[in-house]
Amino acid sequence: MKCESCIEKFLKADGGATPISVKLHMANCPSCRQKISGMQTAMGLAKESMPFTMKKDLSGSIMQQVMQMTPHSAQSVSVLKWIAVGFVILLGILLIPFNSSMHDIRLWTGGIFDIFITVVFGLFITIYVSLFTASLFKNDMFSKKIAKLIRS
Amino acid sequence: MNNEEKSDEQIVKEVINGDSDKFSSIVVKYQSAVFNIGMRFFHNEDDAYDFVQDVFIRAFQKLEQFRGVAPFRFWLMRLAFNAGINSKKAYKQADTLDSALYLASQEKGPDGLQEENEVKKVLLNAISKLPERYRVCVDFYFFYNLSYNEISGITGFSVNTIKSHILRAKRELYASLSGTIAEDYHEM
Repeated sequence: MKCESCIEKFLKADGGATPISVKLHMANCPSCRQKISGMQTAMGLAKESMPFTMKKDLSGSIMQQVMQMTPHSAQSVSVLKWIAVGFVILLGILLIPFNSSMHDIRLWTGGIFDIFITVVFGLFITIYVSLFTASLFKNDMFSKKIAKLIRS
Repeated sequence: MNNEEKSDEQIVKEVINGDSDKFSSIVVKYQSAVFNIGMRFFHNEDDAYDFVQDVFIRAFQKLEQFRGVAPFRFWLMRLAFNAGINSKKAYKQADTLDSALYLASQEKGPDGLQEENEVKKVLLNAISKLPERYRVCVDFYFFYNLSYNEISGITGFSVNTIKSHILRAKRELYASLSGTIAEDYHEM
């Protein structure tokens, strides 16, 4: 490889990886070795710093503004989504009597199945309501409304 | 575990969960990087400082939009880059600052740093010869250690465009360094 194409190949390479063909050429060519090492040194030095020096520390004033803003709420699921899920659970329960498979199981197991299904859905609804209530209590606005209601 | 040991993504999660105080470690870590992006757009310190404030306030407000698909620093850099692009102020500035001269006047460290500053001056001089809108891409490559694809993700410019501008900067740098202090520097 000629020196010119070796340098060009080195310049075109992304990041810090030097192509093998360039390394091979460098091993036999002191001139290219010196030039490429100089470039690598220059690029390495750039990575250790920034082009412009920031003389002021703005973290204090930024945090002052941030602390005046409403903090992020841990609640990540919207109330609409909760209502949609609740509706699907309720619809599922209401449709059970119309399911032929369920009817067959009920005939086969007798009254035990009714008790079992009641307990399972009771648990489902209890867990759902508990999670929904807990998530709402994390929301500042809702807890303020509840506190206001209790006070009045 | 203190904030220094935590990843950016962990800290962001805590901030989203209501612990706003933790945001300060993000500010301390990245304010200089955002300031440098601001300097590329505004060419003066006062506007760049305002830019830093604005970007971090926006970042705090939009933090819930961070999905964690890419590292947080890319998300923040993209936010800063878009804020710079969208600001009409950036295009109103007619006077461009000579980066190399600016750097030389800012950094008067011990003698040992002189060579480093010389190399940086040459690099900044090479960058200053590029079209203005692509200078920040070259900054991302040389100073922020980002790859072509990462820069493309932040700026929205095509990888080929970025490649060609970085190659131009590298050629300028190479030409400027030939026979100058940088070639001697690695021998030291």
